[in-house]
Amino acid sequence: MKAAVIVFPGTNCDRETYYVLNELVGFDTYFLWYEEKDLSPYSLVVLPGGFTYGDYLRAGAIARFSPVMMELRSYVDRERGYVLGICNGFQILSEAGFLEGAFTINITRRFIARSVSLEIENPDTPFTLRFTKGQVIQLPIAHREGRVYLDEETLLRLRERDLVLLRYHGENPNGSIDRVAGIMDEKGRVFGLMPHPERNAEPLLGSGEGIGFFLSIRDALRS
Amino acid sequence: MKFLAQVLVLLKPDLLDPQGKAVEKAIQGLGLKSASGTRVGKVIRFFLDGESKEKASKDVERISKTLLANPVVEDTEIEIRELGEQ
Repeated sequence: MKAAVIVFPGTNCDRETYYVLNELVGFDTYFLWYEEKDLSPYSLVVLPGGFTYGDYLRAGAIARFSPVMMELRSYVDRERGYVLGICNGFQILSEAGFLEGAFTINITRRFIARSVSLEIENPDTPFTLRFTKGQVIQLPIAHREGRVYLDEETLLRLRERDLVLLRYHGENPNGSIDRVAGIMDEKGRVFGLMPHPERNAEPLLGSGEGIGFFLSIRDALRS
Repeated sequence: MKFLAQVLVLLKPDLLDPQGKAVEKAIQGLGLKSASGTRVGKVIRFFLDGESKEKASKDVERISKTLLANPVVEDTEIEIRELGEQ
């Protein structure tokens, strides 16, 4: 099973993400430069974290118009595989319309870089099947524009359809509406989360719980 | 025809603007106690060519709503000015 880690100008979490996918989870992993147009070999496409285009205008605002993102549109429409967006990757997916919501500056106005508690809201998805409902995990966040905004109607729809997969637990570090930390699309093929699962994917770096998301996708692809 | 476009991007009014709040406190601290509704946004200014002001406006509006601002959270105010010949 092949996985692609997209690299945009300003991406900086590609190496760790590649490491987790290739060394820990067992995907045959490739780096894909943002100008690439062939996504056909991949069962999983990952948009890693970073500061693509310096977060100029808005995080992800410019990366969304990349050639690879144009390709991603047909990849998703034709349900060719799964798409995972981590932090800036999530922001790019939202800007490009693959996921609902928009991002704005953290309510604290500061860049927040620390471990937070998260609750798994819906374990019945290809991205979370390794977890249990209500399970609380620790993952680091590292962002300044991580505050998720959803209008009332969209939030209601996401809640009704169980598309909010992950919420901040016990606190709301960045002021995201309804403590939303990760959401999935209607078809269950695209998942975006602000925390960094790749930064806590093995015991060396903490609980190692972050690997659960990657293992879930692998299991979903195998079945 | 040559035009100058200026696009003002601000967070939508019902959204909390923490930058605006911080700046407002500072403004009040400098003596202007009545300052309210403070928001911090961005201005993008660029020249462009167009057959007509109407066409140029349409182009700028399209660019504004897809790239310059995210319509989910931001509003835009667009100003287009025609410059002299050539």
